[in-house]
Amino acid sequence: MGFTAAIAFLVMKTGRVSRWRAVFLVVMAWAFVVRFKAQAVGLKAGAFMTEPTQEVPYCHVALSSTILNAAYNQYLALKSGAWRQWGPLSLGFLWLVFTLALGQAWCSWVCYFGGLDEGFSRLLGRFRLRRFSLPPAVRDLPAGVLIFFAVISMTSLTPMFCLWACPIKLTTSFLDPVDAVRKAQTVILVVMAAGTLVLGPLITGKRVFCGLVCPFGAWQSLWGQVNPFRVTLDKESCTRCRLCVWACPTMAIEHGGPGHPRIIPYCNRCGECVDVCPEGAISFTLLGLPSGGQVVAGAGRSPLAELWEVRSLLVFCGLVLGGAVGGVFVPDALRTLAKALLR
Amino acid sequence: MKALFAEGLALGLSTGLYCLGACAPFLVPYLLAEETGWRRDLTVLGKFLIGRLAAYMLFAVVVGYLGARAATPPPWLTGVAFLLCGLALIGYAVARNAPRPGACGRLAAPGMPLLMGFLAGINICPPFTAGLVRLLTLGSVGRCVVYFAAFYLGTTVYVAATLLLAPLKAVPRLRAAASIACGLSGLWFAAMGLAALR
Repeated sequence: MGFTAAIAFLVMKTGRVSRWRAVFLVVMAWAFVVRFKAQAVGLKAGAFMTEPTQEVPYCHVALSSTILNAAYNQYLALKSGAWRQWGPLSLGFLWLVFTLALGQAWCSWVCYFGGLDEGFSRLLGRFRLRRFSLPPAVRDLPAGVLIFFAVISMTSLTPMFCLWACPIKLTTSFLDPVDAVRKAQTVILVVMAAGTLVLGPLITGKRVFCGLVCPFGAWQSLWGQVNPFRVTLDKESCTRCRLCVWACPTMAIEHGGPGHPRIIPYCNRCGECVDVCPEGAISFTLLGLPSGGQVVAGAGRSPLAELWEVRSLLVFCGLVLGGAVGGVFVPDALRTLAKALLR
Repeated sequence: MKALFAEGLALGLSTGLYCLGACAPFLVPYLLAEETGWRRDLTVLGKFLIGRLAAYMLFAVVVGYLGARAATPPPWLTGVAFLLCGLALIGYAVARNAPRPGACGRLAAPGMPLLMGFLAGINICPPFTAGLVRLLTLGSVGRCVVYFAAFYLGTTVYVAATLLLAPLKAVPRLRAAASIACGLSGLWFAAMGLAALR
């Protein structure tokens, strides 16, 4: 809680939203890794899962890619009155709360997996590729991944994304490579993890897994529209310098043609473009309505007025919900680390 | 003949969900990637179903004619069908997304659903095998065709339900995403085909 409050203080003090948000997210991600790796080794005396079949883990990325299976199973559970099987319903309720409160900002403020490529994307600083961009169609890849894996998971009644494509398994337990299929899955895991969580972000400075693979990101960009927080570009102030396009870590700002950059629905409200815009032309708004411009720390407004800015509301929602999720495993991770160091 | 038709229909209706499972990964991304409009959707689905019917009838005639000599279809058939299906889907995704698709451009042609339906139809899935076993006991081409036509009708009820997904195409970027899903689906089936042929 102290850490979350410190991040909030630093955001308000410096006016830099994304920098301190990234620190928060990266700490959450590595705490998650420490906590779950420690648990996997502690419980099973090894880092491998050896069960012949894998159930859908309670993970938002897994649930989005198996959403049809979850819907079908919950239909059966409700119909049969087997209330012990209603776990995904409570997760669904939690998802609804988070979506109403944060929308797509989940990916930048709460997702402990996103903190992994966020961290690597910032590691090389000025030595990474400066002006990296991909064709706009490529940005639809996560939605394609979501459609394909939702259908194939339903038809095979197996969490296919988890088994075949998810590099996040790296954070918990691996599948034991006992046969040819498992070996193929392990090779894909290593390639995906190296490419999308480590090397891709290091070289391009982008959150490659979040921007090009994660099915939950695509899911959330669809449903996140019910949340009022938006990142809005003021065309009158914009000088078309395109710094925002190069800075966006999830490649959610398009710059095709001579017009102004365009923020596409995959934006997850990280605030990087807000921080980087020299003209203050990009700001957090509610439903795109004018918010009175970007607040710059120390620009003469009273602290109380600053607290009621849209930016402050988003930071508050993000840190409170992120802190609530992190509160489950960050203290445990710190205890585990302390024990390991004192041993 | 009526009893035979009813039996085929019952088999199709009882195992059709499995058929939907086999066809959905081909059909759903493809249907979502195509232009909007009910007429267009019906045309795509209709061609897919005609292609599938052609495959079923081909099997019925061959098995009816050869009888027990065609007891087991060659084991490589499913592998080849998966591989061709996979390659066709990959080509279609390239045709839809690449600025210069080259030869793949032909795969975005109107005949594509017909080809997809035929390739989906010659996949030997468990319900299909069950129908095939029954065909072996019928002993005439006419009876085999009636039985498999009824089986096809029963399974089509489920496959046609994919049309219910068509309104999702109102989401602007979904069609682009679905064409990418076609490519992923293609990679998956091509890999399955290669694994089956190994």
